[in-house]
Amino acid sequence: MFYQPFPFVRQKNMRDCGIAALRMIASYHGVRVDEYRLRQLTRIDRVGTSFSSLRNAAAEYGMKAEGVLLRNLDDLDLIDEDRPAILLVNNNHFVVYYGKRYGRYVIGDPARGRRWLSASTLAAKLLTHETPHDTPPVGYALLFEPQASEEPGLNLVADVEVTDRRWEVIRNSLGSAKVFFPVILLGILAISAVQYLLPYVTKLVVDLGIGAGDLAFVQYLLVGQLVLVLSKTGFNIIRGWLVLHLSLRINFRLISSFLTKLFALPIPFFETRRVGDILQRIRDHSRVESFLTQNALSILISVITVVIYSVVLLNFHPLFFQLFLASSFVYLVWITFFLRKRKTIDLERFQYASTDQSLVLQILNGMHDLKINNSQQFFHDKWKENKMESFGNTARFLRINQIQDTGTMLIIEIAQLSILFLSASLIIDNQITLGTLLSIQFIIGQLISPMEQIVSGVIRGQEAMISLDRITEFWQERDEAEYGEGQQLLPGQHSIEIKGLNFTHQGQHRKATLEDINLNIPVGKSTAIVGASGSGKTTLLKLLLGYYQNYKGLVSVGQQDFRQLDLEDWRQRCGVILQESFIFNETIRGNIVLGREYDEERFKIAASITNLEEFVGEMPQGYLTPVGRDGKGLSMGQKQRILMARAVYKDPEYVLMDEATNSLDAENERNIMEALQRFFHGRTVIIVAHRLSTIQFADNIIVLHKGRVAEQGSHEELLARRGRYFELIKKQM
Amino acid sequence: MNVEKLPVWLLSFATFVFLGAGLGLYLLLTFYKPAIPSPIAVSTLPMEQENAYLLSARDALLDLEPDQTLSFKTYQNSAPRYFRIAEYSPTGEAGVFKIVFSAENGAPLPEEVESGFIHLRQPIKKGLLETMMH
Repeated sequence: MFYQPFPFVRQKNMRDCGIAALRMIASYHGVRVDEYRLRQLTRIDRVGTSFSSLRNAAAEYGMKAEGVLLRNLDDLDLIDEDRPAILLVNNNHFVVYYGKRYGRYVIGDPARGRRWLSASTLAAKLLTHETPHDTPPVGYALLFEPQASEEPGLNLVADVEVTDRRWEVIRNSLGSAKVFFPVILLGILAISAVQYLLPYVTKLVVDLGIGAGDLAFVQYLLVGQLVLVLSKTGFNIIRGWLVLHLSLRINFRLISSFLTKLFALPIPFFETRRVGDILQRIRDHSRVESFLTQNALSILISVITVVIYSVVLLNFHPLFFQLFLASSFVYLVWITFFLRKRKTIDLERFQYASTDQSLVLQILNGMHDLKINNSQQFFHDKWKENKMESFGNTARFLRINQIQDTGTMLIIEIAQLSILFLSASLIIDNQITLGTLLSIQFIIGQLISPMEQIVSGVIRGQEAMISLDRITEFWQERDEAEYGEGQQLLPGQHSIEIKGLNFTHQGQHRKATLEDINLNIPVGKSTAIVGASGSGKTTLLKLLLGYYQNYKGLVSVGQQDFRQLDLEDWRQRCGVILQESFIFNETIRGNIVLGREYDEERFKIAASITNLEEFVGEMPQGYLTPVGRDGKGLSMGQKQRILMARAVYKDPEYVLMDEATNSLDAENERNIMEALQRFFHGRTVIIVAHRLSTIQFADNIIVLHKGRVAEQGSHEELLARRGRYFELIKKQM
Repeated sequence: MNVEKLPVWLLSFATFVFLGAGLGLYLLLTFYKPAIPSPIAVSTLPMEQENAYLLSARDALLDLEPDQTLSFKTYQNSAPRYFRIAEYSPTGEAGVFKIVFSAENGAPLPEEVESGFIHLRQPIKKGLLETMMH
């Protein structure tokens, strides 16, 4: 196996190591997989990829996988050499084990590249799982065996049409700003023309003005030169404004469309992505913009310049042209040699920057908890570790640059010396004149700068393409609206029917979150969903909000299949309070109205129902008091009351609440629930709650247990039944 | 700044300026034919009269206009020496002129026969670009 290079795939996101590892295995066995589809198959919300999801995804591509326990590294020797395996290292990262050579373990690490680890290093990373018995820690591996081609599983490659959207992203980012390019190009041509003229003016000053001792002529030329320099400065100022306008527009369109795309993506997408990853991608846009506005045009101009001067050179003497051609080829090969390495370093840099971003965000968001638990050092150390590793990346980048620059300098110098030697030989042989030598030297001097610009453009272009790849990765994701047919719900309220509902979170295969759910949520009534933690209450509520579309069975609102609904229209009718609902860095009123039209009457009702006056009245600016991000400075109860006011202010037909009152004190809860009862009248209400005080008002109570409906009925009926509901309530007494 | 609207004024102005500059440069380089100093190889012979010399054009019969002659350039140990010409007049012999050097800048005057170049401003025949590239 070592006589052929083993495949390597670098991960694009922190959580993509499993996907990258599986792609390596698939590539090794010659199985074609689709990265986008694989991400769908292996996604597990919040948790990341697991051995289980990788095994199931592999099965979909016709590869049989089996998880094994490794007691020590000797167990790795039992793995067949032509069967690379996936190892779980550091308890959170997947790598591919290719085999052992010269006493070292050959690893394909999706985050760090191909590595040859010593036994002690690998053991420290791999054998980390404590066992219940008093035995040394163990590790885990996933072994693969490609199945016969007759049974390849689902041909998922054919299922998914993934188009290359990179050019579409660029095209869209340009929009009407395309008109800038010809004007900027004209500007560059005008500046270049002046630029080319200036040395000739200097030559005239020296040769004719000084040569003839004609000071008047020298003055005349210098005035001309001043006019040229002023024109060039003026052109540069105009070009600067044009480039600024263009870059602002491209940047604006790129990031604006990216945000629009983020808004359009289904909510589970955000449960699998780190904020740092998303923020880094926003930074990626500036690289694309910079390439488009700065490098793309200069490459074009440089290519034109090189072609023109090459023709001139060919005209002077073919030997010089051939020499230039050969040295340019060597130069380009030399630069290309480093492109792959640069790409690896750039991808690594993204990972480090993304991790850095995520850690800093976590530290800032969790500062209270870190200080209270004296855990600052833990996160500080994590940040330091990542930073230290990123310095290694920076050092590698510098090394690559230095090697490349040294080589480049050598190539250019050797080329220039060769040209000088060739010139000298030809002059001695009376084949060219001294003037020709000077002209050739001038032309070569004029060619070096554009060649460097072309090479720099190629490098910047590669970086822009890497960024574009990462950006378009988001664009490959299906919009939430693409899942449904966009049907508007008929006016008025409708009951919600759930028939034979089965739902498993993406990537989880073993256990369904909701199983065989059959429910009727009547119009204009309150329905409470209760159950122990993990029973599927919140998932059911989120399903009714259109978070997840990959369920089996039927969910309908007023006879209309939920899958066919326009989710935006549906959510417009719902007032929602979720556990993860967010308080924005806005005024209290801004948080309640949340961009909708302000209606004072509705606002007063919302504030009154949720008893906001009690604490807002004490604030100096009342409802116009700004609150920190995520409600910093407010108590949990106050936050919940603002969130409730937000839902009430919306005046919705449907109210969905998930543990909306669990942070309220008993008195406030009683007062607010009584006020809410009046508000609920005539609306369809679904409440997920633990507290008896919140659910006892409900017309119908559904008890979920391990994803199934255990029982349902009114509070009194369920108490009389003395079943699971009775047990739940009894614990609260 | 509303980036959703195009800065029509800026785009129009820039287009006008750049196209104007391009056209201007093209016209200047193609059709402008200024008078530029052109070297003519000559030799001088001192006359008895102070600062006066006979100038003989070795390579061409010159038809000098009174305001064309500016300087006479010779070389001494490969270093150029310039003599300003104050006045000159034809002697009647073809290509031979009486010339009076100016001593106003204190430079020593030619003492004997010297060969050098007299620079005359003459309108160029080719375009300016071609002349500069030559």
